[in-house]
Amino acid sequence: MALWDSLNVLVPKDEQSRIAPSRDSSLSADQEAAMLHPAHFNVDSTIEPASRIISLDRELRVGNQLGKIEPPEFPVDRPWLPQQALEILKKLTKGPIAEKELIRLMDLVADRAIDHFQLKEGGFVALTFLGRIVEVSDTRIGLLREIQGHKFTEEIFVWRVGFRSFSGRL
Amino acid sequence: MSSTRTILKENYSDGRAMTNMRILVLNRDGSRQITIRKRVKIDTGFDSGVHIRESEMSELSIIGVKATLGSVTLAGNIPANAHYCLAYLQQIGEWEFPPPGMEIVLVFQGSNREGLLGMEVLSHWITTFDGPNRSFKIVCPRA
Repeated sequence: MALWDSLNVLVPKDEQSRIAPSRDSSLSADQEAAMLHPAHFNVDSTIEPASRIISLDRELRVGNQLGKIEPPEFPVDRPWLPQQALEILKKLTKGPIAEKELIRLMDLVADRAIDHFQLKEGGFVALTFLGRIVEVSDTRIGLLREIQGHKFTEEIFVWRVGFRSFSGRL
Repeated sequence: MSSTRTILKENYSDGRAMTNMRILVLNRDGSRQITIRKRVKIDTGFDSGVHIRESEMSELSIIGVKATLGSVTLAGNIPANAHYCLAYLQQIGEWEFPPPGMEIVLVFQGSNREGLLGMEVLSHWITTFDGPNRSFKIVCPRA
């Protein structure tokens, strides 16, 4: 039977006759074959072979062979970033961006990181553009003392917790 | 008994409280340094250390110091990109600090020829503005 062959469903031979569709005697062998063809039934042949699900020993197996449930990957050292931040980050990888956009990006990333790590208002923080915290300090001088001269694998920026910038006319 | 030492006493310049300062930037191991001389305006509205124009940042690369990106809020609540580094205030007016100097935050932003001396430095001292006599004075409150 074309359908069963194409889907690689492994069914014990003694059961094949029981579950196979009954043959319409009015159809020719070619017509029947055409109707059972995956294209005719709109079957997506790229779907995993059914042998993964139905096995000869009738044991139902879902997922990987070991039956282990894998947790989804999620970052523990950085927050989820809003879509707008991700879009600006993507632009950054292609070339320079406008000053306004860079400030917006720092604002978005700092906001999420401060919220995620529940940082104390008024403190000073150095963080990466993915929201990873590099250093935290109670003073600007203390923060710069810690980070100056260190080489970081990612570009970093400094921010004041609870404010819209690191310094200025606040 | 406490006393005060006068650090600086100057007349206003063009109606503004201004002075000269010398700032030192060191690399991490202290083997290389640059000195920046700047005329600055006393700015009680600026909450950080010393603000100077961005073009002066290029000198940092000579000594292998990289200023860190951040942002600064300018007058009118306008946000702008800025770069920050740790520096040492060595001299203000005629007053010299013991080496290496007072630790300050140096902000690089904009293109103004004149710099700003902000509250982070001023908060160490007592600053008096004498409007009628168009002068100002900075004193150190320590004995």
